[in-house]
Amino acid sequence: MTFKEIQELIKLVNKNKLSEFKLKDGDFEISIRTEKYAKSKSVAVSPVPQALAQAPAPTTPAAPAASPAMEKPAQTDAPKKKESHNYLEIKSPMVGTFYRSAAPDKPPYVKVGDTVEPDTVVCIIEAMKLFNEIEAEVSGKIVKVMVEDAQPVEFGQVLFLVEPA
Amino acid sequence: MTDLKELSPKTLFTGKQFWFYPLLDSTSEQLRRLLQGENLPTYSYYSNTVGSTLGKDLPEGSLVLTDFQTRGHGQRGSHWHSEPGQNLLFSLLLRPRFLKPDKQFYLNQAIALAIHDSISMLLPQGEVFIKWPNDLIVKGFKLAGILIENSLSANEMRSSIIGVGLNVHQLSFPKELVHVTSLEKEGVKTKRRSLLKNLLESIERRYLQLRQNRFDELRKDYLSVLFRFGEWAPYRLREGTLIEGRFIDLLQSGQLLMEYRDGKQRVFAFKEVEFVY
Repeated sequence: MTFKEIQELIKLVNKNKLSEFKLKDGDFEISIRTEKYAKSKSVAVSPVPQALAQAPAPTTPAAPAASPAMEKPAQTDAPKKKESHNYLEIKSPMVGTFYRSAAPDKPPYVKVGDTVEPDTVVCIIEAMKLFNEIEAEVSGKIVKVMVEDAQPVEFGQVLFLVEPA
Repeated sequence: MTDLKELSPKTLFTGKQFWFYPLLDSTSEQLRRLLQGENLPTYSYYSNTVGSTLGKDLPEGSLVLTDFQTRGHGQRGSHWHSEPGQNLLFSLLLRPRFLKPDKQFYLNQAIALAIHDSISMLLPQGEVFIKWPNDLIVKGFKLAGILIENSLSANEMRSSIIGVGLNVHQLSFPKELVHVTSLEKEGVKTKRRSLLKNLLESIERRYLQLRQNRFDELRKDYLSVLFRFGEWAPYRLREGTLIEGRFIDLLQSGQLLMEYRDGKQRVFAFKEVEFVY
């Protein structure tokens, strides 16, 4: 990254009223904190790798109003909650008991890392002895199972997080 | 070998198309396989349909019957015991798309009532009850069990597999099954085939009642034959405590409202409370 590009970046951070900005790409790392929105101001620049210096800084926001692009590199520092917004949720359509498998001696319908299609059965919700196979309704990869096997669930409760395909 | 191959229920769709297997793992499992388009070569069968469409378009009312199942089951791994050729073991495919998932307990009421309708004609009046949520009992002894497995898609009841086990001729049961009986044990002489025909007709009648949204009628009929409803009786809570109470209301979810002697009330879901005889 050239000195001019770093200057541009600082301007952008100020303009968007960010208190802190970090960018990491391989060995290259930059973090900017502003006085107005934080207590101290610091600019740290580590050595620029050759490839990155030549390329037109792919992760640097090109346009002034590039807040979505700014968000992306900041993600590593963002709270976990924010991260889950990118995931699709499979929710319980009813009050009942959540079961991960068809029967106690059978393997779970899906595990973390499994790919699901909209019609993939992901679990069973039992409500008053009626057993309901629940379909994923989304495509993607299971990243988290939110409920323990055989636990009660509420209407609309998130059962799985899915990374969109 | 069997009397179940000739079956001609007077129905619109229920049991019109059937598969009879001398031996199966479980009728509900097999029906599920037919729904997925497979008919395992492992099991020989007789069907009144030739070259019918298996798979997702399997018609409503499709019926799987067996004389003996090796992995017959009730809910969550509980085994369903039945001697070969003695009883009725079947699974029926319904497609209650018209029913909102939060009203699915009405499907349970309709099926339990249908079986009650057929059986109660064979026994003295007031002897057959539905034990909440869906066991059929005679003098406190279990005569039939129901297992309903739905497939939901986009909050729609895409299909329901209605599994039924009804004890007909079997006279002796394993020692661990103490509260079990059969029609013959209760002195009823009947043929499996005519009973099945009658059951299928009853199921369709109750199912059509459900399809016409006649929920209040179903509820009223269900409560009128619900074992111990409104009566003071002992119950055991899940944590083991014995209590005395009486059920005074049925919620749409299928939960029951119980009143205690001190006037307090509590809502119970299935398995949270056990009947004490």
